[in-house]
Parts: sequence; structure tokens; C-alpha cells
Amino acid sequence: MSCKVLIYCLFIAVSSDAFGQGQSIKIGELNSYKVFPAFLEPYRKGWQLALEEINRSGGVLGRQVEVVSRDDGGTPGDAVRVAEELISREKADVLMGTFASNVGLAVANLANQRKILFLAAEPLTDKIVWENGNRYTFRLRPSTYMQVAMLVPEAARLNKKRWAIVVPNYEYGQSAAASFRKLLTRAQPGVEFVAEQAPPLGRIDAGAVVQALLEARPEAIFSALFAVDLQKFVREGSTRGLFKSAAVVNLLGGEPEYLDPLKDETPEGWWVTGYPWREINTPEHRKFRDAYQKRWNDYPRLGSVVGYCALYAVANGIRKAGSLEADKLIAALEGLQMETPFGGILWRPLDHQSTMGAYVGQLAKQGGQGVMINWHYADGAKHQPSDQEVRALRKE
Amino acid sequence: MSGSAVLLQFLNGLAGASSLFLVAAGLSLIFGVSRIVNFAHGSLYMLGMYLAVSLSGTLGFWLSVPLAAALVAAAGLVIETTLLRRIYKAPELLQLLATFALVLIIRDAALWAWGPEDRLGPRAPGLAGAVAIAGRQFPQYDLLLICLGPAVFIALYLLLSRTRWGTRVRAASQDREMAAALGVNERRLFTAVFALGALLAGFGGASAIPREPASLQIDLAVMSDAFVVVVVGGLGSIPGAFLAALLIGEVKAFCIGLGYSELTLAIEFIVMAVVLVFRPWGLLGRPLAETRGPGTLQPPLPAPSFLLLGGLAVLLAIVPVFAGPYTIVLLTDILAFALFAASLHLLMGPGGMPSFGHAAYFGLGAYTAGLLLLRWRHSPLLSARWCSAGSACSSPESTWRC
Repeated sequence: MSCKVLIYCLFIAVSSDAFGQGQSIKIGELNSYKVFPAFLEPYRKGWQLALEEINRSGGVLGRQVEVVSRDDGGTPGDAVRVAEELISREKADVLMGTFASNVGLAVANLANQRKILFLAAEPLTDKIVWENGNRYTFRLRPSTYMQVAMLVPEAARLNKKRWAIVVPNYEYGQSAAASFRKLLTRAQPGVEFVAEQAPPLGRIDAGAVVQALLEARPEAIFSALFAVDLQKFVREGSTRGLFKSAAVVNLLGGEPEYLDPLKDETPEGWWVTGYPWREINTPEHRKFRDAYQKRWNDYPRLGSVVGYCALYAVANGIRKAGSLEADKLIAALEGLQMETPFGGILWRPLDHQSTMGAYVGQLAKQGGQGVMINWHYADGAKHQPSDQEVRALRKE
Repeated sequence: MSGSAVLLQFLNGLAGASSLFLVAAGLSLIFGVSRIVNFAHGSLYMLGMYLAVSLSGTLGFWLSVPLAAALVAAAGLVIETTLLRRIYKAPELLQLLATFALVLIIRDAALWAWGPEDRLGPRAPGLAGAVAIAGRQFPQYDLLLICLGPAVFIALYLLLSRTRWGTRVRAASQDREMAAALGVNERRLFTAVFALGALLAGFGGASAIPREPASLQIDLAVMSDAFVVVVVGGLGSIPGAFLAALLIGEVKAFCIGLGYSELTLAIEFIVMAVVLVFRPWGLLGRPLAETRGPGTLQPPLPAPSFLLLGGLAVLLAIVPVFAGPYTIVLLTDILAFALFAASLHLLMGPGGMPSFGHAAYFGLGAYTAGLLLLRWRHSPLLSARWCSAGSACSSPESTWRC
């Protein structure tokens, strides 16, 4: 009996060696692991889990999937070089990954030139699917515009007249501020913006910024701060009493990556977009959470979901296309419907944006930890500008 | 801005200046004696933050600060005796590179030890709240910070001017060969000064945790701030660093107070440029004493034979025939860097000006070429010519600044 098992195992080992490796499907993955480890370590664990699941169930098109992962150094120049290496030396069939907007845009541009499919997992910039969008680039996460649009109804419901804005001073922050001004003015005519602060990313001088906001006496604040900037802003703001007099709406504030470090200082009542991983109990999310916790002995962050879905999107696209040719892959991904831990999503043929949504809710403290309450899932399909506007932006 | 708003922003500026001074003082001290721009100084600061955050979990905040500072000083001791001591005789640029390597090593070590997540430290017990000043709330801990900077400054001043050890340090920073010739044990002095610098960095980091979370990106951020302070104050001058920290802290706070928060990154460099135009050695700096024989001068490049050059050109020309696209990308990068290195050599070798800003021309050229290529469909070669003209136009301005 054991002899039989042994021979069987040997056979599998030999056969997978002979056929599996030579013909495996290669996905070139690049990301700024060293620059943004807080988000990207969970992201890596996410796609690794997906990879194991896909290969355990027999791979794609009868072939094993292989991910060649590289660090892109966090700069557009390095990322393009790394992507070029993945395309020409590793012979990757598809590119996937990137975090920062400028890096994502650079790789998207390269993908267009080299005519290879690029699935941008994380970059939030609107431009990657609109102004600078191209045939070969698809983006998974809800964009800055979409996430702002998800928060605007809550902001309008607060019914405050004097708003202040604080955003990190780069593409993401600037476009968040611009979208918020536009959408809130539309939802609540007569609203006033009394102050705008745009400190450099990661270098906020929180005391001075909070003081300057207080001087403007806003009734509510829109913030797109995250990571270190958010933590400093929260601490200074609560010490100096800013949040006593002003309600806050904060983009990304509920993502575990940025919420968890706040612990018992979590500011209560803020409206945020995020990921209440503990409380989403849909069957698809429960399945993902259990598998993730079993594999990594850790809870999933938002990055985990992004990595997991990105790899599945590539696999599903290849499966539907039945081929690795870029043109067939594009045709397959356009309009592709798939299941994710957040529920079903669709890859819009119009602008190659997925309809993955985000959870909108309020921050609260429970047992010394920050959590989201009163949350609901905001479907990405419902928070888009009209098709006409998108077509005008996308010059194709 | 109303009067009380001005007062509050002034206090914010003072608190910021205090924590800037703590890092800058150590950097300046180390540079004054060993002539090493210690790039890893920000990493020591970061180490102080992480140590204080994790120690404060068990020991409480007030004990964790001095302990973290002491541990960082010990780390500084190890770094000096194992690495830096061996390269004092090497050219300055190599020393800079070695300390930069330390930055990467310490960051990876911190990632390994504390994980990728940011760590928000505890508030200082007893000073967790705010006091009312001019009708506004001001954090109590910031008041302590405001006193801490001057206190450390006075302690350093007394140490350097009133003790025998301080006299030796000042002697070594004026002329280290002469000090050595007169019997000062250079080795031990360098080690002690580096440890003291590390102590200050660690103390700066540890005392910042109630205001700022420990994160892996803080090292270079702090380093660039501290570097500006040290240059503005005058390399090696502690009172200069104090004055510069005050100046930059206040300018930044009022920049934000007046609503120009977008400027806060640029403003410190603008201040630096303005100060250097009027006082080329910094506010309280003096021209550096000539250091004798640090590193040997390289012989100039011997003219290679035309045969070799021709052969190389032919070889490069036929590469595209047999090499894949990746080799070409790599070669393009190598050649671009070689060109840049050659230009930097011209500036630093024959020109004798170590320049951090040289990369700006590289960027300017790249932007010009890229924009021309995209907007007007210039051929890359033509736009390359335009962009060298563009960089050349902007260089007189910086020559004047030097």
C-alpha cells in the first residue's frame, strides 16, 4: 500500500516536473514591498493564498500558474525596468501589481507600448482608467473618485455648511479634494469650503495643521490622510479639541492597515471607507477569511483581499479567453463577471475598471480596538460618473 | 491670523524646533569631529522611536525614553568601532556610501524585528492632556519639548566648553591631526563622540513618540530635515544648529498657519539657499580647517587608444542585432548612468565641488526630453539636445549660489 502511494507520488512529482514547469503560465508581479510594507505584506499573502488554491484545483487551462514577483523600488523608473525584465527575460504572460499612482501609470504606459495585459491591483488614481487609460490596462480597486462618491452621501447627510479639507499633497490627495468639492457642491448646494491644508505625504506637521484648521472654525472636515499622517492628525486633533467641534469624513480611514495602529485613540463617529473584516459574514467572505486565517495564522487586511482578487481576476480572464494572447485576454476581461470575498464584481468594458466596492461606515472603539459600525457595502458600479463623462475623459 | 493664533503657531514652531535640534545636534557633533556626514543618523532616531515604543509597553513611557537612548548609544558604539573606524581614511564619498548602506540595513532589521505596521506610541503619562493658552488648547507634552531643546543645548554647551573632554573635542574639530600630534587619543575620542551623537539621536526619537508614530519611513525624512538644519546652522556648530532649528521650526509653522502647507517641504530648502547666499558657511559656521590627506587622489583618466574606443563603439552598435530587448533596456540604463557619472566626476573631481544637487539637472534634462517627446513629437535625439541646453541655462543660478 505505502509502496503504491510512493510510486504514485513519484509519478506525480516527475510528471509535474516534466509538463508543469515547462508550460506553466507565468504572471509577472511587481510591487513596492519595501516602501509600503504595511499594505503590501498582507497583499503578498493574499495572492499567495489565491495561487495555492488555483494550483491545487488543477491550475488554469490544465497548466500550473507561476507568479514571478519583484520589488519595483517604489519609483516609476525602477518599476519600468523591472516590468521590462519580467516581460523580456522572464517571458511573463501578464503583468500585475503596483501600489503608488505614479508607478501604476508608468507601468500602464509600458504595457500599452509592449502590448501586454497589465492588471493594476492597488493604484487609486482616476487617471489610470480615464485620462491615461489604455487598452491593455485594467484596474481592480475602487478609484479615488469612486471612494469619494461613496462618502459624499454621508457627508451631505451631516448637513454642515462650513467644510475644511486636509489631504496629502500628491496625486491621490489632490484628486480626492477636487472630487469631493465637486460632488458635495452638487449634493448640497451652498456648502462653503473655509480652509484647505495639503501637507506633504508622510511628513505632516500635525500640531500646526490642526491649529490652522481650528482657526478656520469648520463644522466638518474632509480628510484623505492615511498611515502615519492620519495617526499624527488624530492624536493632535483630539488633544487640541478639533473633533469636538467638527465632524470628520476620512477616505480609507477604516482600512485595517491604517485603523489598527490607532487602538484606543480611534476617533469615534468619523465616516470612513474601509474593511470591517471581523463582521462581514457573507458566505463568500467567510470562506475567504477562514482560508486566510488557516493559511497565515493572521487576520486579513484590505491588502489581502486586493492581492487575492487580483490573481483570481487574471486566472479567470485566462480561463475565459482560453489563450494567453493579449487581444483575447482583453476581450475576455471586458465584461468578465467574477466572485470575490466582497461579492460579485464586473470588469467594465467602458473603462476597464472593476466594480469592486468598499465598505462605508463609522469608526468606534470596542475593547481598545478601532472598529467600523453602521457599515454598509457600497457597490462600485453605483458610484461612477456617467458613461458619457467617462468616454470624454478616455481619449481612445 | 489673530494674535492668539500667532502665539499658538509660535509655540508649535518652538516644539518642532526642539525635536529638530535634538537630532541635528548629534549630526553636527559627529561631523565636526570625524568629518563624516552620518547618513544613518535618521536611522538611529528611528531605532530610538521603535525601542521606546516597545519598552514603554512594560516599563512605562518615562523610563523607556532614557533606556532607549542608552541602547541607541550602545548601537552607535558598535557601529563606530566595527565599521566607521575602518573608513576614516577613505574618501568622503565612500564614507557617505557606507553610512547609507547602514540606513538600508537598519531599516530591514527594524522591519524584521517590529514588522511592517506603524507603531503609535503611548501618550506621556501626566502630560497627556492639553492646557488652555489664549483660549486655545495646547498639548502639555509640547510645553515639555519646548523646554527640552534649550536644556539639552545648555548641557551640551557646558560639556563642550567647561570640561577637559569638551576641550579635546573642540580641538579635534578644529584640527584633528594637530590634536592627535599633541597626544589626544583620537580613536577613543571619535568613538565617544559618535556614541554621544547616537545618544542624542536616540533621545530625540524616543522623546518624539507621544507626537509621532514609529514607522520605517521616518529615517530618511528626519535625516533630510536634520541635514538642512546642520547646513543652515553651520557644519559642526552646535549653537548654529540650535539657531537654525528655531528658524526652520518657526518658518514651517507659520507657513502652515498662513495656509501655505504645500510649501512645507520646499520652504526649508529655500531657507537654506537664502542663508547660504549670505553666509556660505551657515549661520554660525566657519570655513573648515584643511584636512590633510583624506584619501588619495585618483590619477586622471589616461586617454584610451582609438582602437579600443572604436572597438567599443562597434560592439555597442551591433548589440541590438543579437541581444534581446531586456539587454538593450539594461544597456541604455547603464550608458545613461555612465554619462551622469562622468558629468558628476567633472564637477567633483576637477571641479572640486561635491554636489548633491547635480541629480536635479539629470531630472531637468529627463523632463525636458520627455515633455518635448510627448507634446511636440520631437525625435528623442533632437530633444536630448534641447534638454542639455535647458539644463545649461539653469546652471548659472546654482553656480551663483555655490
